[in-house]
Amino acid sequence: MNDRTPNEQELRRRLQRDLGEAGASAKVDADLLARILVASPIAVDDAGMARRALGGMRPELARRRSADLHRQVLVRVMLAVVPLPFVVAYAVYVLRALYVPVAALLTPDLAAYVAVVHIMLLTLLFGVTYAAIPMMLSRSGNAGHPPAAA
Amino acid sequence: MEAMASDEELAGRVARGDEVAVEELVGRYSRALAHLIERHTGGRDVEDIYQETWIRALGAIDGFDLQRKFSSWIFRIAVNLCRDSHRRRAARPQATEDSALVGRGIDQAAALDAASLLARLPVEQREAIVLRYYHDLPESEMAEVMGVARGTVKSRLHTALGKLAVLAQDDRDGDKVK
Repeated sequence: MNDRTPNEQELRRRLQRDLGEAGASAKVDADLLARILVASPIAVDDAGMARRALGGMRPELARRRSADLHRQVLVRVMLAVVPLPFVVAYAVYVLRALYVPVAALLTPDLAAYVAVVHIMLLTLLFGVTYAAIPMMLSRSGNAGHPPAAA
Repeated sequence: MEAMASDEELAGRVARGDEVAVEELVGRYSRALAHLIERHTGGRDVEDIYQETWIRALGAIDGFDLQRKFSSWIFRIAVNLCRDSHRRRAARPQATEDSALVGRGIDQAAALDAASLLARLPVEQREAIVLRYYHDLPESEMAEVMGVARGTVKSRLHTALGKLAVLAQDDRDGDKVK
C-alpha cells in the first residue's frame, strides 16, 4: 500500500503496465491520463482527523481494556485456586502437628488462642495473595497506556 | 532495537484495547485512508467517513482474521462507507457537482480537471482507478477491497481507463473549440 500521491512518471508507468496487459486494442493515451490523474492535489488535514478519530475511539478502547482485564483476572484466579486445597490440607496438617506440643506446654485456652491466631494469619495471607492478582494485572496493563488526555 | 510490529500484530493488540497500538495503526493509515476517501467521494463527508471507518474497524476488530492483510480490511470498510455515502447522495437532491472543492485552498483548476473527470465515472470504476493508480494496489488486493472477483477488477479498470481517455479527449476538444 502506498500512502503518498504518485508523480506523473509513476502514474505513467502504472498506466503503461496495465495498458500493456490489456493489449494493443486499448486505444488509450497513457501520457494524457497520467497528466490528468497527477493534477489532483489533495488538501485534507489527515493528522487532525486522526487525532479526532482517536478521541472518538477512546471509550471503546477503555471498555475493551476493562473486559480484557476481567478475563485475565478470572483466568489467573482460577489457576491460582487449583492448588489451594493442597495448601490448606498441608496447613491443617502442620497446625495439628504443632498443636500437640503447644498444648502440652500451654494451658488449653492459650493453645486454642495460638491456633486461632495462626489460622487467621494464614487466611489473611491467602486473601492478600489472591487480591494481589487483579492489582498486579491492572498495574501491568496500565503501564502500556498513556494517561487519557485532559 | 525493537522490531516494528506488523499491522496484523497491532490489530491483535487493538482488540484488547491497547491504545498505543491503535495510535500506531491510525498513524500508519491516516494519510492513505484520508486520500482514498477524498478521491472516492470527491471531497464530500470526508471527515465523517474517516471517523466512521475507524469506529467501525474498532467495533469489528474481533472478527478480523489475523491471516488477512489489515490494509485490505480497513480499505474495504472505508470503500463500503464511501459507497453508502454515494447512495445516500444519489437519493437526495444534488447540489452543485463540484461544490466540495470550492474554497479549499488548492489548485482548483487542476483539481477540477482530474476530480471532475473522475466524478463522471461510475462509482465502481472510479474506485478501481483510485485504488490502482493512487494507492498502487495489486489486482488481488483490489478484488478483496472491492469485494469482487479479480476478473471483474480487470474489466472495471480497463473500462474505466477507456472511459477516462474518452472524457479527457472530449474535454480537450471542447477547450480547443472555445
